[in-house]
Amino acid sequence: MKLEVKLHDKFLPVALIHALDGYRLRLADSDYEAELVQVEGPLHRLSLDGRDHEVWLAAKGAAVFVHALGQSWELELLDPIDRAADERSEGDSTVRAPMPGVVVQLDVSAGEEVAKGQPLLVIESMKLETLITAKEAGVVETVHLCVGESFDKNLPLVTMQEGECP
Amino acid sequence: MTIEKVLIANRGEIAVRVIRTLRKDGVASVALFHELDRNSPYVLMADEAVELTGQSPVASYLDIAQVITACKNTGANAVHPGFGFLSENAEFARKLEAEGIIFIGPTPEAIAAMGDKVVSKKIASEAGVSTVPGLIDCVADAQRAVEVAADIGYPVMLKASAGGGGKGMRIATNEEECREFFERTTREAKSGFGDGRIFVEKFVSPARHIEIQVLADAHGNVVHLGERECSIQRRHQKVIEEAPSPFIDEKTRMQMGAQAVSLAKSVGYRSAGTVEFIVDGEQNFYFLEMNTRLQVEHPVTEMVTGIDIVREQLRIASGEPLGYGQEQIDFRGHAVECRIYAENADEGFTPATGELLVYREPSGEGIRIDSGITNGSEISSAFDPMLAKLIAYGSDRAEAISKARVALKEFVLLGVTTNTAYLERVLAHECFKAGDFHTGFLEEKVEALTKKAPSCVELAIVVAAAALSDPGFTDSRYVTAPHLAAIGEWSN
Repeated sequence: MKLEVKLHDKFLPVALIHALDGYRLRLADSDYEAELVQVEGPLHRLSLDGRDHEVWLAAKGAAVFVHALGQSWELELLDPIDRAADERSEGDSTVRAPMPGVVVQLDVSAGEEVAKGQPLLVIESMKLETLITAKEAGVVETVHLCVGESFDKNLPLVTMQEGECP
Repeated sequence: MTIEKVLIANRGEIAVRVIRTLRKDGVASVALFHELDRNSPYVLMADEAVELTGQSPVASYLDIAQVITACKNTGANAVHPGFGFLSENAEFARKLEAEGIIFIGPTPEAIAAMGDKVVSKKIASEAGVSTVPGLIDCVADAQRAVEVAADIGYPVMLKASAGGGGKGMRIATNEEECREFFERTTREAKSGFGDGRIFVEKFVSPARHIEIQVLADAHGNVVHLGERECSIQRRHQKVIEEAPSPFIDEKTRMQMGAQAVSLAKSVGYRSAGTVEFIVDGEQNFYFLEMNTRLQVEHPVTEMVTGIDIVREQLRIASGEPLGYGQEQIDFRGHAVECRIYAENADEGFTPATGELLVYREPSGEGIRIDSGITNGSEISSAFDPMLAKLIAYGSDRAEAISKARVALKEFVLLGVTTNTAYLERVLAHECFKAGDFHTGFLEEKVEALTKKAPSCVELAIVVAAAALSDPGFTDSRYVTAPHLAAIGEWSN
């Protein structure tokens, strides 16, 4: 059994192997003697092959945030089996936020039929307005937000009805 | 009039910055906050806090009537506007004045005059300030724009007179573009600023952006506090600033300072203000605009002069004379400021949001952090993405840069992506270190400033820390017995 760590959109397999005095960590093709000790709160000491490193750690959901080597890293810890299952359920008909922002204009409402490329809504992000259009023709099932509401990246904006292809 | 209690019509790091000086001087403070800012450090630091409501978080802070009511209810007899929001709103300054509340800033007349690009350029030119070649007047139509452009020579810049913050300007390199961009810029200016007036001037490039800090009291005394180099910008937003400029010589510095003082005098300026110039490769400099407020980057000037600019604003607003002349202003050492933005520099600088899970500021001799956030702060897209400013002071430029780089690496911000690593790469770039750059630097060096892939060892450190921090991972189900691991079989 192993774990996958996602960093910069790459999936890296990691495994722990029992050793006489703790664990050995196997990453890609190399094994490392690894030990993580909490010093205080988010501050930890990581010993890797006998060398100590100051690391700061925080987690939220599947995301792990690491400050090490003078910068921050965001990783995701995944079970490879779960990930494979997720990938199969792709192809959902929800338009998601490409970046965090605020809704400034709604051009459609639930039940409305839209053509491919038709404007759905206008969002504002980084002081710039961006028009979100329909990727495919279909019928709007849900508009998730009102004008003035803010949202984070990847949040659903508009959901289209499944299987509608006039 | 004595200032007894100051209401800060702003939020975030600048509100914290102003409250620090108020505390030092024993002046009471009042913070304003929208619900989203309820637990922000500046709200907790202030002696009193008043909640604002509005159609949107930003609109709440722009509501003049609510700000005035808050002054009356708390007995605040002065308002510090910070920067952004109502800081350059002449109407706001006028209304406060009418209510007998001190506006800690310039007169409404000076704000209005400098707020219009064409009017301010005219005033500057008349005050003997060097301005960008072009017609110091608006052009009525595309034909006139083309005539003016032909006169000064391409490339030209089409600018909205009411524009600002990098919006409402376009560069035309030929007649066809000039016609097309005139129409487009006019339309944008009308919808963006409610004012479609356009003017045309020479596009100076490559150029540096260098500005002069001035201080003026209500008695006609004006001094300048030297320059700030602000050429490291992205999409017209400053990213790194420093004082002094590594580029200009003493003669240029003196000339720019003298012209800035002359402009301030000609508009009866009061309080702290900044005269922005663009400077070409031969140290020819041209007036760009005057910012009638405290600037984001004011700390670098404070570090090299030892003058607390907010304190000077308070003294001036209460009617005190400056009490010192130009010759008493001493410049010592070098300071660099880095703006910490909640953004993902590796993915097109998209804004980042989320809960700040861990926040630890760097420290050490010569390091100053002006910040508006703390552990647990919720970073939303409702406000400006600037979270904090890191200022490093050294006896010379190399030392200031080196201290800033160390501090950026020590700055722990987890949970929300920030640009600290990107800033460190900019500071580490050979051209930056040599002082050899212009306003297009960040675009020109995109490749060199891109994140490098981590080495195997670096990757191992980061991944090991993440994996071992997960209690589930050290569960037996993930641990492979040594005899199985030896086979090297990995698949599920």
